[in-house]
Amino acid sequence: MSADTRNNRISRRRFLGTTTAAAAATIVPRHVLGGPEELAPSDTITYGVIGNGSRKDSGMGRWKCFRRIAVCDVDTKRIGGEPDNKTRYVDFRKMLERKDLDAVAIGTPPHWHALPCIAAAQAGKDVFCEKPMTKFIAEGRAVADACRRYGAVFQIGTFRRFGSQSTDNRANHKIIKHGLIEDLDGVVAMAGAKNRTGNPSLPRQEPIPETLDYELWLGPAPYKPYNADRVHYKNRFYWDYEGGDLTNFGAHSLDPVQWIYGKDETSPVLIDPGPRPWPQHPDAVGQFSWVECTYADGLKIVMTGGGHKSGYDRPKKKGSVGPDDLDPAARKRYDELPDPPPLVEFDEAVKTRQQAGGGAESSHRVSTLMNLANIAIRLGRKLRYDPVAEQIVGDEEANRFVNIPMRAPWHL
Amino acid sequence: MKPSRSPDAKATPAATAGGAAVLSAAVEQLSAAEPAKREVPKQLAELLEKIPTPDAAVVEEVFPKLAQGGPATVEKLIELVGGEFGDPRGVKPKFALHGLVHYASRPGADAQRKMIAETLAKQLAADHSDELKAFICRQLQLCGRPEEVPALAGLLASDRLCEPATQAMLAIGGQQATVALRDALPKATGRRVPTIIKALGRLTDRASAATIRTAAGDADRDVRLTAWYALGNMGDAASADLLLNAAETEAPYERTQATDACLLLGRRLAEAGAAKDAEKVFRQLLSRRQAAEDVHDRCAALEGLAEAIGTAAVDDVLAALDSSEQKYRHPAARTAVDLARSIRKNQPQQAAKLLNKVLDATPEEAVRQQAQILLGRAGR
Repeated sequence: MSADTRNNRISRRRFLGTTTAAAAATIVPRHVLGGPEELAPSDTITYGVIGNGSRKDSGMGRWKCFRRIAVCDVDTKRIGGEPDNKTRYVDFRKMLERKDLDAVAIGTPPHWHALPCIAAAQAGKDVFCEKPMTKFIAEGRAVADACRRYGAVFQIGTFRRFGSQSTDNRANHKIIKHGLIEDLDGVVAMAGAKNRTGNPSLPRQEPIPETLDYELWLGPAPYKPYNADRVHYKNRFYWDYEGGDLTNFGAHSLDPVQWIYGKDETSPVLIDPGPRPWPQHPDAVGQFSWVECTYADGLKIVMTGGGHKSGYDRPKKKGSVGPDDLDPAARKRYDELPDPPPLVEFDEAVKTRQQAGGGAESSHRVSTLMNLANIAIRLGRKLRYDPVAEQIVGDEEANRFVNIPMRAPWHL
Repeated sequence: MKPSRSPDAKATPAATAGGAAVLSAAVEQLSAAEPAKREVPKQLAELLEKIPTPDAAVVEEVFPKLAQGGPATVEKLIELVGGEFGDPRGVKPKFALHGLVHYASRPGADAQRKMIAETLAKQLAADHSDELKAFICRQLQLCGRPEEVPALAGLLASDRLCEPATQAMLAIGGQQATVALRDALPKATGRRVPTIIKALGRLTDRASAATIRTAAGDADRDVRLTAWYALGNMGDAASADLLLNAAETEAPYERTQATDACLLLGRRLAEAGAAKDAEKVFRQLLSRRQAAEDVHDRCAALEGLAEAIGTAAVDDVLAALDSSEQKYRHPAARTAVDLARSIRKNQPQQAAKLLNKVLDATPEEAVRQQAQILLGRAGR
């Protein structure tokens, strides 16, 4: 298919909006109607990839109804040819101008997650975003607000939440979410990371590859001289771009745990970074041992760093509850309350305009959990957090990690 | 780094309980020497070798001593960090200086934090490389207070350092930072212009609004777009028409950014109690965004309207719940639930009307459950 043909393709929404009246009087070929091996255009949802790294579809390939029509990357090596601003882009802002684009898949480094998510919502596109959702807390709030405001469907790129829907887990979720039990002292230990580290003596490296727009790669992050280890996956181990393996792998572990324990709409109130190598380097991510996060109802979620000798050494208590654990009044309330709604996957959510499971608000709370852990690790002290105001309490320096200024012209 | 021992340090006694004072004296003695002869005093070198460490007791040994070493120790660490990225000799001092900033910024340690911030700020006027000064700015972004603003403001004329200095000033916030940035704006050129405009917007400095309005039509897209954001975020009612007109531009990305600035302005006006002004902005957007491809803008304007005028928006939301556009109706159902939640105490009948309509308007189970629960609580 030529670039021009792709560019002129009618999106699903425009197709629905313009062809309904004519459809009845038209003989429609089979490939348009669809069949066992063909999808009708009305069932096809177009998307573009922002950050076309090793996973070319950023995970969208699991759904047949999506068809990629554009790719964007600040490194032209990764877009399969010269940028033409038709199907191959360097600047995501240009790609978002395409009216025939229904959705975007975002596979950029995490310091470049929030802004394309927000810009996509502003442009009326739906968003599938690789984990972790955001690099700092205020970014997550801004993404969740933008998706809600503009009616965009959002799903985070981890699927274990969908695999966690056992009867016991759903009961656990319902009990805790509705506050039907008190004095819950569950501890959930999560082995969440390979605990890889960055290089604290990363030298200036020149020249910058001709294929890479390094200024755009840095984007909202502080200017630092180019080094090949800053970009293309290894960026994960530098604080300016991600939060190490804790946020890299933590999202997979914590997303289902947060759902099972009914914490999709809140955050911990106390964060204890435990023993850890300290201080952390200002640029390169170091190791951690474990971080214990306590919610207002007493529930603890613990993140442990795989590969580090010092494991979590506090007593582990029963972490799950069922209807039989409830007192009679709570049990009555449990029976009256609706069961948790089914989780809807991105493809269905886009077609039916519902919110996807692993949506923006819950993903923001997962990111918050991990970002709070990293702030505590970096500062080397316990934090108290207000999950409603989304501010750290009584620690001005810590709060400066909550909403980190971005390099202009970028802003939340 | 393998620190070597200076001949001048030979007379320095070993670190003891009073080792911090000794450390300070040793550092001062060395710092007075010729730069080429400057070396790491033994006590400091020993402390640097101990970090980073997983042992909390070692942390509690090292950092109080570094802090008690006072300005001389901080200056020495800055010197040792050096100005070139990746210099392995600067790695341990960087760990130490950054750790010291965190350590001294812990709650209840303001005297230590003040000493470190003051010392860092003074170094911004010294003959250091831009990279080292940028590093110092990033430390002040964590530990600085209004007292450090003048030193940071002195960097706003530098193409390389304007950005890190502005970010530190944004983190510090307050009147001094705002005034310094406002004063710097007319003199700024190039990339410094959007940097400062964006900062003034984030600081919601309405005293800059008139100047920033002139930038809203700048030939440079970055300047234009940051000006729109700034005017929206500062809630400048006088910019409403300017932003609404900008939102009519043909350029698609700019149109989205101007529209978002309008929505931001509306929310800021509502937060400031100017509900009528906010309503005007949201209603203008609702009426101008009737095309199917603009449905997302209508969703956002409806939500803003409901938040701004509450009960007075019930009919608008009910009408949206009747829309044949799924992309409008379903988000409107979420807006309706939020609106019903906010008005149900004072206007229970209106709230119930919205919630019952939600049950007809959307199949989304999570939204329907919220409506049902609210209806149950309202006893209807």
